[in-house]
This record gives sequence, C-alpha cells and structure tokens, in this order.
Amino acid sequence: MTERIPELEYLKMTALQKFGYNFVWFFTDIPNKFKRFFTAVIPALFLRLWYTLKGWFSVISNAAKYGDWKTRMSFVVMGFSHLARKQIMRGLIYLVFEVLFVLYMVFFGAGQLAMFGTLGTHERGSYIDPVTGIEKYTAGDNSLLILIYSILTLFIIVAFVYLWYYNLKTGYAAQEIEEARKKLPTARDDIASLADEQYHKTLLSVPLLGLTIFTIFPIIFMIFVAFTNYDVNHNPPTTLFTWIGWDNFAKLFGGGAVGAANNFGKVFLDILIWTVIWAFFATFSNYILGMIVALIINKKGIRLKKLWRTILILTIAVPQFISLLLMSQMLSDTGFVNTMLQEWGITSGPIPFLSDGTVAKVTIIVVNMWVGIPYTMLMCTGILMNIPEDLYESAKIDGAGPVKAYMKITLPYVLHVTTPYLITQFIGNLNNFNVIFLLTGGAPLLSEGAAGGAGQTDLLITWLYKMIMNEKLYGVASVISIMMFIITAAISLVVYNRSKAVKNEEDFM
Amino acid sequence: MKKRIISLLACGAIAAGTVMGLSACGGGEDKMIVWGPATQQAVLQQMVDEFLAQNPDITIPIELGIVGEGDAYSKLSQDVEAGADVYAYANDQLVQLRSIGALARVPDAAVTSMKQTDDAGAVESGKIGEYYYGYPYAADNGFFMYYNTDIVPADTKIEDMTLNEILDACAEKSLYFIYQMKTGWYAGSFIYGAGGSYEVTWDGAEPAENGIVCDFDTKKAVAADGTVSEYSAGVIGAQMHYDLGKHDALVDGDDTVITNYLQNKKMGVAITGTWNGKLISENLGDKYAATILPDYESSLDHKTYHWYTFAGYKLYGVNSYSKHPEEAHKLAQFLSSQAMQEKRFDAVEIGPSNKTVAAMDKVKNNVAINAISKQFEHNYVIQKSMPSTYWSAMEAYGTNVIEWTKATTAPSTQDITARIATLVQELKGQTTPQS
Repeated sequence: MTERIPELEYLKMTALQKFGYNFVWFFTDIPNKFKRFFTAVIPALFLRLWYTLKGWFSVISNAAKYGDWKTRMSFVVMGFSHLARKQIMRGLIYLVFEVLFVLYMVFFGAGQLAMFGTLGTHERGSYIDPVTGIEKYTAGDNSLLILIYSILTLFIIVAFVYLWYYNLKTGYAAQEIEEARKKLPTARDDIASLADEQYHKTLLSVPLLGLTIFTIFPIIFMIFVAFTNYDVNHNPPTTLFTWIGWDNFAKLFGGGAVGAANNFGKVFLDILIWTVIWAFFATFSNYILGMIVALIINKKGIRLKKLWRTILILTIAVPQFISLLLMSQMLSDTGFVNTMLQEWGITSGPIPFLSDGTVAKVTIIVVNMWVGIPYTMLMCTGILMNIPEDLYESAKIDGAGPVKAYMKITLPYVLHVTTPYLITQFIGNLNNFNVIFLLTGGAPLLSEGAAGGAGQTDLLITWLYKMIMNEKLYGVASVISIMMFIITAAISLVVYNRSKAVKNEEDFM
Repeated sequence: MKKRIISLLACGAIAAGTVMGLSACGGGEDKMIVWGPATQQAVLQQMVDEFLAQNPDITIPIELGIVGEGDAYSKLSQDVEAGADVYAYANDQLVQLRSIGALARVPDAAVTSMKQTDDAGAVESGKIGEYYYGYPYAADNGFFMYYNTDIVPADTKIEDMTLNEILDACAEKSLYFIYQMKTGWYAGSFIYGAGGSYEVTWDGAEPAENGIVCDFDTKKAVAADGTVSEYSAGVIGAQMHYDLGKHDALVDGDDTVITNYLQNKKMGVAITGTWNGKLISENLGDKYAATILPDYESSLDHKTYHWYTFAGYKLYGVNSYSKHPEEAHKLAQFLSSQAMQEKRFDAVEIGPSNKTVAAMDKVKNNVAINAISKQFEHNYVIQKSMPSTYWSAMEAYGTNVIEWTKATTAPSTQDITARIATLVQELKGQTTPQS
C-alpha cells in the first residue's frame, strides 16, 4: 500500500472498514512520512532561513553601497548614523550597548570562551600548611561555570550581532528619511511609538526575556551537557569535566543486553515502551470512564445528581499526593489490604500489588483512575449540559437509538471540545512523576544492575530523577532529556495542529 | 494613551525587578555550619556552646543544621561549597564524600592522638589509602545477639555455647531464633567470620578497573583456633548459612517479625542492632540479655568458627571547602573528644568509639551497647563504602540459600562451591546478579 485508494472507493466502505483502512494506512505510511519530513519539511525550513539571511545581507550591503559616510561609520561606531543626524537617544543606546559589550568581552567573556574548548585545565590542588599541619586547597577551574558563562557569552554575542545589524538597518533608514526631506523621529516620538504602533514590542519584551532566561537558556545548556562527561567522577568544583563528543548518545543507543556492563540501550527501550503504554492507558482509561460516569449522572431520571457529583469531587479535595501515599501504604506487601485479605483467609500470602512488575503496572493504572476520573467527570458534565437538547430530540424523531445518538452527537461534540485537553493529558502522563514516584518509586528493579537503577515501573522522567539524584550521570541524563523533549514536542505539535479544535475553530461555536 | 503609559511603566518595573533580583544573589555573612542528626540537636547545641566558651578567640558564629549521618553525601553532593563546614557522617559514605571534595584530611597530630584514645576499627573506618578523613565519635552500627535468658541452661554461660547449641536450646524451649537470611548486610557475616575478605580500590566514586578483590572462593577458611580448613571460607560460611536456615528454630525476618514474636512471647534469640534494644528489653523484662555473636561448629569439617558483624562507625568530617579550616578541624576534634562522647552517651545513648568512655560503668551497664562494644573488639569487619552491586549480589545469594532450605534435598558441597564462585564473580562486577 504505497498510495491511498481513490476517494470514491473509500467512501463506499463501512465505518469499520474505514477505521481498519486508516489504521493500516497510518503504519504503512510511516516511511513516506519520514521521506516527506526530510524532503519537504526540512528543506522548507532551510529555505526560510536562507531567505531571512539573504534579507539581512541585502540590508547590510545596501548600507555599505548606498550609505553616506555617516551610515558607513555605523559599521564601526554603532549608532553613529543616528548621532550624526541628531537622533541622540537612539544613537546613545546603540553606543552604550557597544561599549558594554566590548568591556564585557575584554574583561570576562573572551576569557570564558577561551576555556570553552577544554572546559578548564587546572585541577583543584592541595598542600599541607607547614604551620598548622592542616591540609589546604588551591582553587581550580570550574567546568560547570565555564560552560554556563560561555553559553551566556555566546547568547550575548548573538544578541550583539543582531543589534549591530539593526543599527545598520535603522541607520540607513534614517539616511533615507533625511534624503526624502522628511522629519526624523525624535526621542519623544520613539517613546510614543513604543506605547502605540510598536506596543507589541513593549508588551512582549519582558515575557521574551523571561523565556530566554528560564527556558531557552537551560535547554541549550542541557544540550551542551549531553556532549560532556559530567558525572559523579567529573564533578565540579572538585574535579573537571570535558567534551566527549557523541559518547553519551552511543552509550544510550549502542548498549548491550541486560547483564552487560552497559545496558542503557535496552533499559531505555524498556522504559520508553512502558512510558508510552502507561500514558495511553492512563489518559484514555480516565477519559472514557470519566465520560461514562458523567453520562450516567447526567441521565434523566437519576436522582440525587448533586450528591453523586459532590462525592466524586471530594476525592479532588484530598491532595493528590496524600491519596497516592496512602494507596502505596495500603497496597504494600505488609499493608492494610494484604493483612486483611490474609486475616480473612482469602489469600494465603500477600498479593504483590506493588512488588511484582506486571501486577504493579496494572495497580498503578487502576489507582490513577481513582485520582483522575473525577476531573474528567467534572469537565464532561459541563460539556454534556451544553449540548442542545433539540439535537437529541430530532435524532429520536429520525429513529436513532441511544448508542447511535451517543456516537453521532455526544462523542463528536465532546471530542471536539476536549481534544486539546486529551493531548495535554497524554503529554502530562508521559511525564507523570507524582503517581509513579509516590506509588512505587519505580520498584521493583528492572534487573540487578540495570543502568541508572531503573525499575520496571519507572517512566523516563522518574528514571531521569534517579539518574541525576542517585547516580549523578548528568551527561547521559541530558541525552534522555533531549529525547523526551523531542518526543513530547513532536507529539504535541503534530496532534494539536491536526486536531479538529484547531482546524475547524468555528464549528460548534 | 495614559493607560498605555502606565502599563509601559509597569513593564519597566518588572524588568528592573528581575535584574535587581538576579544581581542580589551572592554575598552572605561569615559563619560556620555544623550538621548533625535530629535526635542530637539539643546536645550538639550544648557542645557548640561549650566549644565557643573554651575558645574565646573564635568569634565566628556557629549555626546548626539537621542532616542525619546517613544523608550527608546526598545533601553535600547537591552543592558541596554551600554545605556544612563540619558534619557527622556514616563511614560507608567515606569514598563518595571524598570524591566530591567534601572531606579534608585529618592533620597528622590529630590522627596520632585519636589512634591512642579511640577504637582501632573506628579510626580505620575513616581511612583512604594512607590518610584519614574523619574524627570518629560512635561505634554502634552492627548486629549482635539479643537473647532470652530462658534458653541458657542453669549451669552454663552463653559465651560457652555454640550457635548450634543455642539453636537446639531455642527449639527445646519452643522459642525462635530470628535472623535476616537474605538481606545483604547480614548475608555475608558467616563468610567473613571464616576468614573471607572483600576489598575495593576506588577511582573517584566508582570502583577502579579490576579494583574489587574478593577471596571467598580461594581463601581457605580459618577456624577460631587458628587452624586452616580444607574448604574455602565461602563454602564454610554458606554451609552454616544453610544449616541455620534449615533449623526448625530459625525464623527469617526483619524488625516487624521481631516485634511480632516478642508480643507472642516466642523470641529466643534475635540477631539485630542497637536500635531494637529498647523494644526487646521492654518485652523481655528480667530475661533480657545481649552478647556477641556466638561461634559456630561447621557441619563440614567440625571445626569452630567465629561469626562476624559488619561494623559501621560515625565520624565528624571537615568540608574541604570550609572557609575556616583551622576552626573547623578544632571543632570536629572537640565534638569527637572523650568528654563529648560521654556527654553524647548520657544524652542519647550512642555507643562511643572512645575506649575510655566505652569502659565506663554506665556504658557497660547498657546491655546492648556493651554487647556491641565487645562485638567490635574482635569479631567484626569494617563496613566500608560498597558499590551498589555488593548488596544486590549478596541478596541474590541469600535468596538462593533460602531456596535451598525449602528444597527437599540438601545442596552438595559442589553446589555450594559453584554458587560461591558465582557470587565472587558477581561481587567483582564481572556478571550481574539475576534473581
């Protein structure tokens, strides 16, 4: 199956056939999807980048070719074009930034960047103080700080280059305005424009700064760490770490079987599979069962609706982590449930709710329902009450049964509204630290000596936690973080963009 | 327009706030931090006050922090520079602490003096290579034998009875012998008693390449009288481990089992540590007693062997990143001194590592601590930093012994020899244990 069958034939199929066809098509189309990704999506991205750069260069070359001496001076002294045209404030801002940048580079940035290639060479040393006999220490290089400051310096350089380009652009623009004999905007005009036509810049500058500092910077830092041997034995400030190229990736994807010294690859795959299974079941079990509960409560003729809802909502009132810790205590081998079962003579030994891998996986999913169903119930109740009653009435007149009405009216309506919610839930469950960490802590062990102390119920995120907190394998952990970032980003972007809620935004409004 | 200017100002204020917040970090006042476990905070505060009173030239304020001896590494590894100047740690974290630079060398003069005053094992427990990295103050983490005096016949002393006789005596009185068969901490005890040894050379915080030496399968067992057996230490130990597990009086269980059997008045012997002393003494009343682990007679060559405990110690370490190394070393030495160990025993009953304090009557009158000090005199092996594979390999071996005791046929000497060979391979990290 390399091409989809014609539309007409597809339309002839029954619903079940369509589903089966789409299901098979999804998998057979995967190679094509990859092909499209590499032949269409990636080149398009590069093309856009190329056009942007071309735009920049044309601005720069125009400034060089057609600029007067004032504009050309801006190549060296930023803001000169503005200063010479009496736009003092603009010119000064550019100039101040240039001076600050030069000072920063001379006194700090250049030194850090010089060590960026090695991440430090001086180990921490020690000597015995001849007077007191006490061991004292001489400070060495701190690879971690060198890495952080180098990345910071790179950020600053990029920002500076952009500012330099912008200085040429506005400088040349000022020349053009002057040549056209128009009035140049004054400082007062500039400030006014920031509160008016350029108001978006004013508003977005703070969030953008925050995003750069708190999100983009850490991600870039993490990507760099993935190429270092930063771990317990290369741990600043006491010891240095350095670049090791793709070794961490090789460790993760080239590892041997369980039992071998390096079993990262096998463990990673095992955990990834369980993570996806968990996310799928945790999301859809809560979603479907929650919706069913909501439907039951919403049904005409059910009494005490408010009471039922309140009872279910009470579980939300108890903090999630308390519920989970309680469950973990109750279900342990010597916990309340097992003790009772044995006292009553129902079982002879403890049921390994949380101590046997497979049983624990089921237990976790079931316990998660307890935590999650009320939320879906609550949300669906609102949506269900919103569906116009006349839709059901006309369906009834047309002879549709309750199942048909559900499939054709309720489900599409609810799905349409909740697809973004489902996606967030799925992504959230991929990274659901709480449930796993508090219930089992990842136990039981995947195998003795499993890489990073991985357990059978560990998700990637809890494995990552163990790897960082217990084993201190920062380098490999960074590679896994990158993988997780790619997986979650890909799933959320693709599914969200394809969801009906985004495509047909006007429906049902 | 006006509104916009106001919001513009608001944005500016937020931006300024962020910048100020970022630049406000750093600085901090000059002080020393001391970490100790929660139960010792009050007595630690008294000690620090006394230290400051005795050393009027030290004017740096000293702050206390609650960090248990077992958590020192996990806490310090987060940020060693921001950690305590002086802190209490359990000796099994020694190598890891040193690898992150959290431990400064003890000056030679202090080493000489603590070698004279303190238990040899306790001083050794802070040693890496030829240097020492801690001031010992407690020798109390090990296991020994609590027993119900009912099991001792009228005309005999418990010290003269072998393990085999004690087991039979328990069975006779319908009492039980409680021991943890598979937990890694207990599982190796017979093998160490028969002369086996396990040593790790470290490269940073991980075992060096081929850095693990284990002779359970090659070293011939050494009996209590010094004669050498034809069997290896591992085989002698494993055979006794199996014989013990097979005995009718044996109950394999942890602290909850001990509580259970005490309540049902069925405890004859419990092999455990000082933390259960109070529980057992309250339940047994007059019949409460404790002593060192008994010797045992091997069913293979009928020689008598010792039974060893793992010995764990607690020490005060000085952070090598301390800004006041002189004062920090002085304080650590003070906190582990004889007077302070006595004070600590008075306050929280912790087994002292100081020989003079351990010999005091009030310490000897504490049954559990007296037993552990005696145990730590000869029949012990220091529990150093262990790679995590040690515990899993030992547990897999212990589990295997339990399986043998449940099978209908006893394992042959060949079976045991083969299992010990596997154990040694696992301990050396050549194969991973499969359970």
